[in-house]
Amino acid sequence: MANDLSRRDLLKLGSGAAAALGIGATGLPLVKRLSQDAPPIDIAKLTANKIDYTKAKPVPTICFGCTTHCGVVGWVQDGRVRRIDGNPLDPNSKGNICSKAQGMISYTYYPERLLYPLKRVGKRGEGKWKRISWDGALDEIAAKMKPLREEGRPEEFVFHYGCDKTKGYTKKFTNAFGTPHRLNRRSICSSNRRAPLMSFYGREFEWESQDFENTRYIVNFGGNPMEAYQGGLYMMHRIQSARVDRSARMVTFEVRPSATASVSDEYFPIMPGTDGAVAFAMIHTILREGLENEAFWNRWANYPLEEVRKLVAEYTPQWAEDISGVPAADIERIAIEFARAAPACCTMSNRGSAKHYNGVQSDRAIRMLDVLVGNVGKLGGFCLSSLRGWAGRYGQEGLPKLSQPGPKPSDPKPWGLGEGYLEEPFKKLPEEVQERVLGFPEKWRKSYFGELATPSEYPLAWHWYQMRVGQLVYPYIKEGRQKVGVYMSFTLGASYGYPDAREVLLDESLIPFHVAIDIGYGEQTALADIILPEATSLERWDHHSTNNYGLVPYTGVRQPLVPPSGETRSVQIILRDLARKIGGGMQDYFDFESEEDYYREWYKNLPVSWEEFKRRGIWMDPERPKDYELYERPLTEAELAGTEIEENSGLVMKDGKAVGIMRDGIAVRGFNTPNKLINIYDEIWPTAAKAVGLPLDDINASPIAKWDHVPEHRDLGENDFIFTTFKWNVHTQGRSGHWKYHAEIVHTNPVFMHPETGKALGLEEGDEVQLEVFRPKGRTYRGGESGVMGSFKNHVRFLKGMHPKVVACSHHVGHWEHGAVGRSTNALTEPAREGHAQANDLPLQDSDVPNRIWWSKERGGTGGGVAINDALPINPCPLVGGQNWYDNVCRVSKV
Amino acid sequence: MPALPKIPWESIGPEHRLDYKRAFMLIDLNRCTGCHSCSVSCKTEHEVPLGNFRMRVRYLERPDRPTLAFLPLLCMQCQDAPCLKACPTEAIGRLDDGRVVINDEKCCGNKACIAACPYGAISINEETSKAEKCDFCTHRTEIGLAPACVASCPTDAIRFGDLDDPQDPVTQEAQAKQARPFREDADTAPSVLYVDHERWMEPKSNLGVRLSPEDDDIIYEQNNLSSKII
Amino acid sequence: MAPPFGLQITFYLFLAGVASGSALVACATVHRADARAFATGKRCLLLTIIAMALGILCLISDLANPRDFILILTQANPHSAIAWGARIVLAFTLMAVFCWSLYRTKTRGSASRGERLALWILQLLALAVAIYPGFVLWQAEGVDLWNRWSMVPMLGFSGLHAGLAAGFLCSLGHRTAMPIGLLAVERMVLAALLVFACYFLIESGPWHHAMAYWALFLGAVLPIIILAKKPENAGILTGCCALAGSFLLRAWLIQDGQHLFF
Repeated sequence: MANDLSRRDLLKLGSGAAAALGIGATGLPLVKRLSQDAPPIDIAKLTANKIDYTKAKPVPTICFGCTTHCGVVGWVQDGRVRRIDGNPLDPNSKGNICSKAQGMISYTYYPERLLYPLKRVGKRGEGKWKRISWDGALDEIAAKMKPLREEGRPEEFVFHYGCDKTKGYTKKFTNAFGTPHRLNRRSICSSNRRAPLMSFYGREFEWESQDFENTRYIVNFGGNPMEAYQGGLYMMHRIQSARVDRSARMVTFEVRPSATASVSDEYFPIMPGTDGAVAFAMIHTILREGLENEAFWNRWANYPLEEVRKLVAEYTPQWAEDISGVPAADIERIAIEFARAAPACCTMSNRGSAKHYNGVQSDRAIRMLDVLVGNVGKLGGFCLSSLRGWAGRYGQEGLPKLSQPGPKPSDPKPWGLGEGYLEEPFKKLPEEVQERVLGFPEKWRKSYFGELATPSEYPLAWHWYQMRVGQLVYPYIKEGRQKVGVYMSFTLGASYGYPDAREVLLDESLIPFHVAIDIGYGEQTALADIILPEATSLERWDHHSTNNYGLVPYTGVRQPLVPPSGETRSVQIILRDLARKIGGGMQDYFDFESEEDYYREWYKNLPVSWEEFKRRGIWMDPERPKDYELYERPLTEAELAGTEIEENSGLVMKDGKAVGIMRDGIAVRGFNTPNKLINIYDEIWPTAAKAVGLPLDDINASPIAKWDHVPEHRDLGENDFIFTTFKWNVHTQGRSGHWKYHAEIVHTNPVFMHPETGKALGLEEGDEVQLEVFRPKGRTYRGGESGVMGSFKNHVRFLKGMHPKVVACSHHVGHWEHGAVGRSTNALTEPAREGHAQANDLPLQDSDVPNRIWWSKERGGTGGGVAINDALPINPCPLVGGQNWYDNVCRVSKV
Repeated sequence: MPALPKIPWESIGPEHRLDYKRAFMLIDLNRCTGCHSCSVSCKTEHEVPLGNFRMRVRYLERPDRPTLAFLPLLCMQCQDAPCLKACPTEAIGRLDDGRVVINDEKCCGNKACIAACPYGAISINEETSKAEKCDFCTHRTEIGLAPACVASCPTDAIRFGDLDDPQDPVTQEAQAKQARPFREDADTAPSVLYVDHERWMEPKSNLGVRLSPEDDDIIYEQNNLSSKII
Repeated sequence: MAPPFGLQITFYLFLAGVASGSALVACATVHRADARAFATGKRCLLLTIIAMALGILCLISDLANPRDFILILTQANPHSAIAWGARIVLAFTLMAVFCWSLYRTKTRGSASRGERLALWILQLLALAVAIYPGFVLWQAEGVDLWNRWSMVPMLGFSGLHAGLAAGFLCSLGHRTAMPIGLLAVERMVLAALLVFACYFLIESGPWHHAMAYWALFLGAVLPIIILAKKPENAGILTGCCALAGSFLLRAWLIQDGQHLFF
């Protein structure tokens, strides 16, 4: 490049001379015309083969590229969805989308999508299948399920989902059947961060809605909304707009140069598991400087400020620097800047801070920051807005009620002894479990449904609602804590993404019968006995509502853009037909023919016509005010009628329940907690600790946010590193490996590390390494054991932005199923051939797959990534049960 | 009941044609989060085969900070386009608003354009065996829709405007923020302007991703490590 | 992902250079009275035609759409070096065929006015064929290695050098068949090649140069050493070295140049 100047000068000289001779800049004799006088173009020919938007049909729907579920518009031409655009009427996403929206087209039209029910021939997991009819498949499944119900052991039917956005439809099925076992993956993801929120603000607000549009200062502890995060896209466009157009600042503590860290105004690499220390030091600084909002704290916090001062007395910025590596001066400065920006400031945190042994308590400290500066519910602050369904809950007053049509089967009875409990399944539990449960407080006994749904060792995993402990499902089944008769997977990738899953799934004595409902042949479906092909999100209905970062509740509908391909069916139809085959009263809850009618009924209270709603895809009351300071709303006359005021607490009681609280002589709604306050201090933690025998000095037993080290991070050796996983923005969980355009961008997951770390280990970029992960310490599942949990081989890449003690691999890749794209090969998958598109099945022909998979090893590419999950231990956080993904200590050695 | 908002996607058609004198794109590197919505959207829109790119987002390690920079790159629609000059069969032409477009009918695939482009924006489409590059989504702009990448960017990092219209807010922002193109030394007068593009990005401002150790890319690691891994 | 130009272009550049230099030799020898010179000249004309025919096949097969090759001749973009080149190549090849047809049936050299005119035109076209590929590469603004004015003289002299060497090989070792003037031209071309190649390599910056230096050594330096030593088959040796070096140079330009691009 340095030579360019001299070349240009020469060119200029030359062209000057050349010009004199009539020679142009390229040295060719001729014409004075520049390329402006260019050959004409026939636009009609140019656009002939492209999407014709004047002919294509736009249909609004809800994206399913990840769990954020933005409103989108799909364009359908000649019976095929050609493109996804954002739906500008969605007040949350405001017409924005990310790359994963187009993934819906990829997964609806890829050649190895499953279109026909399959039944296995040969041994389970052998990969041999034959095509069967729907009737045959459902008959067989019903035949296996009926006896469970008729013989009084319906709980042996286990429904295990990965991504269920039917908003209660599948629950209808499991309730109608009578099993409590609807298992999910909440704990794999975010339980650790939801528990602190629910403790502070009540069950309704397990997720916050920071007012990013109006904020001036964001302190981010390991969140990555630019690439992942529930609601990431809603946050992304607001944060960038606030930063670029209104000078908001974002400070990020992270362990790697994520996209969020990269666009932040400041990025501090932080030692994993030490976010709490930094948060405490910030609290310490704010109190020291007198920047706390004492009025707000005294009004709403249930813990005296004096006690907080004592709590954080030792948590100085210098102390935090020694622990976390973040410079003390910066911690102080950030704390002061944060407090000074209040109330237009907010914290942000997600898995980065929470997926640690001390993560729950770290998040409680982080959440305390918002309360301390009084930004909760304020303009630009940490706001809370309606989350789910429209059933007249807190903050949903005045919204039309939306609920599933038809009779609602009751919830199954809790398990226990005595009146109102199911004794039979309870008595089958191990002695130790029964004892523990019988010692629970009544509230918990009334919500206990066995070890899979409500693991007794983790009461806070189901104290507010059933978050469950998904990563223990397979170990518990293996241990015999729950017998399984029929196991049904739905959009689940457990065999790929859960530790220990495959062993259990392959064992027919543990899982006698496995039905998998999915759109493709993945690791989970490969281990099934019957595969039921599902319609994709572009081919079916769902109800949609979620928290709006624009702070006004809204609702949307997922509607089909095209009919289901081949013989695929929506999960709604599958379960309806199955219910009818099982009979015994189940069919009464699924008495509908047309899905559209079902959903029309669901939305019947909307003040717009059904046709209009379908045309827009989204409905929001344009005049409804934003959800600021919901807690300050005075109680209405009607609400006050028949209430009494409790002397000491100021609670406004009605029929034994608190409906509000007196603040300065006015009855206001308060927070949605039992005491109507923000629960900085919560006895539920020590209560749970005592109930399960967790020592009270364990950090997880503390009633107030507390700091302590992650057990296995104490005394880290020089050659010990923390192994972290992360997500890319072009992928989502384990189900995007076969989206061709996305796999093209990211198909490997190298071990990222700091170049100095690499140098110390004698590594060069691209070297192959063996990474061994050790078993966790601490009071977790098999926490007493030591040694290596597992290992894998991969190549390394250096990134200056990595924390020197952290090595990281991404999730998403390393598939051994999911077709040619997922496996990064040029050969179509043999096993499920019978389930694939037949000759006449439009429109699954795709000339890209499998021959243009250029990154395959066959074509000289790097191939796909490495599956890392088997190396990672099951590590549920005590009491809450969130999987502590980011505590893993590892060793890296050159191969 | 107050009136509901208008439905934007119902207002398209030839009467809404984007009638620019000098079409240009403004890419604000402060807003870009590297989400790839633009590049994947483009692939979907034009059914670009695997292995080809009309648009690409590069992930580059910054030399000054321990974070990444994101660089969306596409055909720069040069006012003095080397590809247009190099193509012997006059298969590359220009529309009224200045954008540079390949006429498939005249393309024999001699690849002079590919070698001529300082930005590596052109490639041979394996499916059609013709040269292919961004055309600012003519089939969309003709009926009033912004190019696919512009429409799909969630942070307004990519916008489309008329450089000859002083009233155009995108043009005004380009001027206010002193947006500049890449490789000004190549003297091609590009129509894609970048806000806050930095000098160190210059040698990396190509879609092709060079096989040179200095030209690292975090996300397309295929190109950089193929010599080591394979 | 694959670089646009492949081995076909490497071969074409080599063949075009051989054809152009060989045509120059032909023009200097085919009209001479000396029987050996005349024979050399005829062989050179034949070599020119075969080399160009093969070269044209290479060019057409390199196209992504070979069936549409005729477009290059039916459409004309005056800015494009390839557009000019295609016509020069066609004219040159046809002229070579014409010249060969003039002398095909003759048994010794003759230089009538018509024949001399044809040979002059052939010479000019030969020079054009030698020079224009440099312009094609110079026009490649996307490949830093190629986008230099020094590509024109370097590639031009390299091609001529190889072509002259091929022509000399056609004399089957009979140096008497070569006019003195042509030998002098060859020396000058070699010297110019060395100068411009060195300039090009130094100015083009810290690219991976090993292959290039081998090419230069083989193609230019080694011939000088051999000529100085004056061994038995100096002519044949230097000829082969020049050809090898020329091919290697083009292989490096096309391969390495594009590696750096893509």
